[in-house]
Amino acid sequence: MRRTICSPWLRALGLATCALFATIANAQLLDDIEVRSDQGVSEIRLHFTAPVRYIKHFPAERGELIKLYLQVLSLDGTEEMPLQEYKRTPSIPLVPPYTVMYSTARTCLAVRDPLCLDIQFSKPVRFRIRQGEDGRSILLHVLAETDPRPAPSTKPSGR
Amino acid sequence: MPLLVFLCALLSPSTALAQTGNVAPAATPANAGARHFAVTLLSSFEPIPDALLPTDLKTHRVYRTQAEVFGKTIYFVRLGFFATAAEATAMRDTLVARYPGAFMTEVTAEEFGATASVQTRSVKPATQSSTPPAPRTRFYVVTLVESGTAALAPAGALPAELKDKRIYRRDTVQNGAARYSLQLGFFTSAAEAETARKLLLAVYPLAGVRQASQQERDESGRTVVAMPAEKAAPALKPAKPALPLASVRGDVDSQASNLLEQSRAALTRGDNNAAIQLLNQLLQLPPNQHSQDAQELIGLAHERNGEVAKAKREYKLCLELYPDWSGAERVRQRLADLETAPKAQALIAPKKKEVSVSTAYGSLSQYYYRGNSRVDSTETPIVGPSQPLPTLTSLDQSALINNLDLTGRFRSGDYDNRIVIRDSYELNFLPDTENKNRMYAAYAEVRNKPYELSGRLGRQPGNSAGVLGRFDGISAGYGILPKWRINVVAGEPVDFNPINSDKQFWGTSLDAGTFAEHWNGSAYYINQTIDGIIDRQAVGAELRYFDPSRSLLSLVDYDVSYGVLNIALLQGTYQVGSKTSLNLLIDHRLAPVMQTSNALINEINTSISSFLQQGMTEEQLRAQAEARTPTSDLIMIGATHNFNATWQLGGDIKRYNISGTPASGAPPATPIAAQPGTGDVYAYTLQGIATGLLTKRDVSVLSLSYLTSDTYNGESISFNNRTLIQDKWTVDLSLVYYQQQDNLGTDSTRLTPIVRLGYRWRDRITFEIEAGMEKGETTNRDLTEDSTRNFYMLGYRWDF
Repeated sequence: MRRTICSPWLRALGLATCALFATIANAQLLDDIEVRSDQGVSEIRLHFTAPVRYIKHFPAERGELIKLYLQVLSLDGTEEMPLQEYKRTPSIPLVPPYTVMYSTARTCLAVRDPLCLDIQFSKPVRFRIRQGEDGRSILLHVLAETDPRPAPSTKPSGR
Repeated sequence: MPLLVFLCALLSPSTALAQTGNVAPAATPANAGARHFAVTLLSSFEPIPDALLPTDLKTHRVYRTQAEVFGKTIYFVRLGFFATAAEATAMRDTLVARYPGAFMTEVTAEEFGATASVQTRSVKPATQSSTPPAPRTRFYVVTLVESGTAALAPAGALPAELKDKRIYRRDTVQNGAARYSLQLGFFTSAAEAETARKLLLAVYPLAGVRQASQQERDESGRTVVAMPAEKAAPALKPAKPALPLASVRGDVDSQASNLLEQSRAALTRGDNNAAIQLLNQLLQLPPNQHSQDAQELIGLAHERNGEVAKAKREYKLCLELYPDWSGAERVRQRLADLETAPKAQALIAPKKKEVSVSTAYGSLSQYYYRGNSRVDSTETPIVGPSQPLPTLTSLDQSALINNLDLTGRFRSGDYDNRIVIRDSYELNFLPDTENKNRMYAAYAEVRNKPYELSGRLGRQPGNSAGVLGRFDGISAGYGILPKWRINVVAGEPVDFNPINSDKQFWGTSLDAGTFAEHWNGSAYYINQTIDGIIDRQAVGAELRYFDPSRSLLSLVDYDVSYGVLNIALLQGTYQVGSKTSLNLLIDHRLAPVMQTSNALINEINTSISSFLQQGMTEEQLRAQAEARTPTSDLIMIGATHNFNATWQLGGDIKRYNISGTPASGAPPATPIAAQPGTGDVYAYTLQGIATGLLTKRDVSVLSLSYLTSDTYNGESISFNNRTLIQDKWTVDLSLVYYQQQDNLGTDSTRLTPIVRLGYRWRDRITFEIEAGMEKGETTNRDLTEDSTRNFYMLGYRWDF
């Protein structure tokens, strides 16, 4: 039986090469992106097709490019991993358009079955990130950038 | 019945809608009243500092408020109030250049009530400052008359009690229109102003009391209106004797004022219990000018706390104590709302939502991949000079990958249905290679909220409830009770490297939670067969805990047929303060999970039934499967710290071990020799991430790793940078260096630089090109091998 996963021995030897030459197919780890808004806050829920483990993200709470580091905890580790995928959902009010690109190249994070996401907004946003309650999703709460710009200067009334 | 509804809905969502409809929130007296709108100028995850509040928006009130949104506390600064959404939107349009995130908001009656009588900057959540607010002088005025025309004049001379007061004109802009009014001031307490208002009611029947600012007082002298002759004044008699103004106790009032202010702030931030405590303190003071307000607000606090009986009692007490108070009518309305809301809801006929929304989105992409390899080898014999071996070159990759990701979503009434298709077609240009089509998903999904029903039919992802991966079949769930949901699943696993055996499975699971605000979980049973014999028969459970700073997920999968623990997993994260997070993973598993089909690992013949026909027993196949299934153990701990907004440093330590496997297989199976395990492998990683390192809009990642085990050591360093150039260009640079030495004297190094360029055209189409090289060198005492692989990719992606 041919398996796409590398053998345990080969895995132990640091399989960056294996990942590089592995399939370039599109296996869709990111199942769906669900977005809802309320009172100017948008909740973006990234649904994955397997359990994921949140590890870290950067920057902490503000920026236009968010790097999110996860680990796939699939039940069946033999499922092949895609190298790179993109996902985009229809734009929503108050949240700048964004694209989610993720990579499972082993060089992106030194864990087994890494999942590294780049969430690219067209403008800076403020956000919070946490793991979803179902263990298979990641939640982003996004606020559009609202810092005020300088008020227009006004001349003295002359009185 | 639920299954029937599901099938009907799958076939015809609109028909199903007509059968069930949706009950819209019934109108109640509370929400049937006046609506109020505001412009949200600022919103934040953290309290908004004073410095960001506008100081020049005079026409309307600027106030702070906060709300729980998606479980998070969000802080707002709003400008209000407006009678219509159009007016608020118009104001928002005039401010959006200055407040780019401004949006129109319909505020709740509670927010309006709690804010309307409070001066802007006094609405300050207690969490924002530990220092008590500075005492301020407050002024009250009586608005005698208000009009849209400027021709206003006093109706007569003031009574003797008010001779020391002034009448002045005040011009404002409300909802974009000029408003003119005559004001009488100034009073140091609301009680004084209220007494004056009552004195003047006969002449100014619409007179009202409001607060005024120091600025208004200072500027009022410029618009004082001359009084008519005293004889023209009607003989005004107050309905009741005026309050002895001298008896107003300033110290009590001041204390009460502070408590009232704090309680309003507590109400605004949703801390009803704190508000109740503060209001109780206020109500224990001697009667003062804020007693009425406090009596109403404590009822409101109980009401928001869900303590309806207490709220009613406080409202009734308020009406008994202050029947003539100007806010009494409002209190009566609140009380009436509480007593009549359920009846009103029952009387109003359900209203069906008939709005249907259909959307389609996804992406289509085509990428061409090409790679060339070259290997130069030199043999080093024990005796004699080194001998170069023939150079090997090959075109190892030439393929066009076509991807389609299509989602159609149909929302109608209570239904939220989807059709999802994800397909990848690999067109290979290399000789003797086949084209491959992989349908990753093709399913229809129905969700019905009132029935708590959902289902999917078709090719769909698994990885839950014991289903190991993608499968063709059906899955459905039904909420049997609040917080309890039962699911069933049945189908055939999808393997893109198929074996010559047939697998089927069915399973059921139970989801529970959320309990105690933070806990949820599930338990499952699954039965899978292969060519008629048991492949996998497992029970499992997940237990999860989540709160804003911690998460924990545990998973156990146990095969009852084999009597082995397939998976025992525990993972958690802990946020320490605002800058540091810790994470942990403990993962023990059979890899792959135990299945009879594991007997086919390293077999050319991939048919279980064939082996059975050739004389192998089921027990022999199961024993072979057990022998060929290694065990993986991993423990990993990590930490991440944000030094500032631009730098983050993280590190982790992990130990993993993959067991060896014993020799296995006897004819007709293939004999396989014992395979050694990895032993304990330790890996140490340090990763720094920074923004603005090379350019203003870039993010760079630098990683250092060190691996050590009984048989080899390895080190790697990698650098990645993504730079955004204007709005349309992205540049990705990646450089990875890895070296390894093993106990057999083999040294290997690998250097991989990659550059990728992306350009977004018309917002929906992205062109990408990537080029890279991998340069490797492997040396041992017999051979030196230099390998080079050049590769590139180019293509486009259309998001629609």
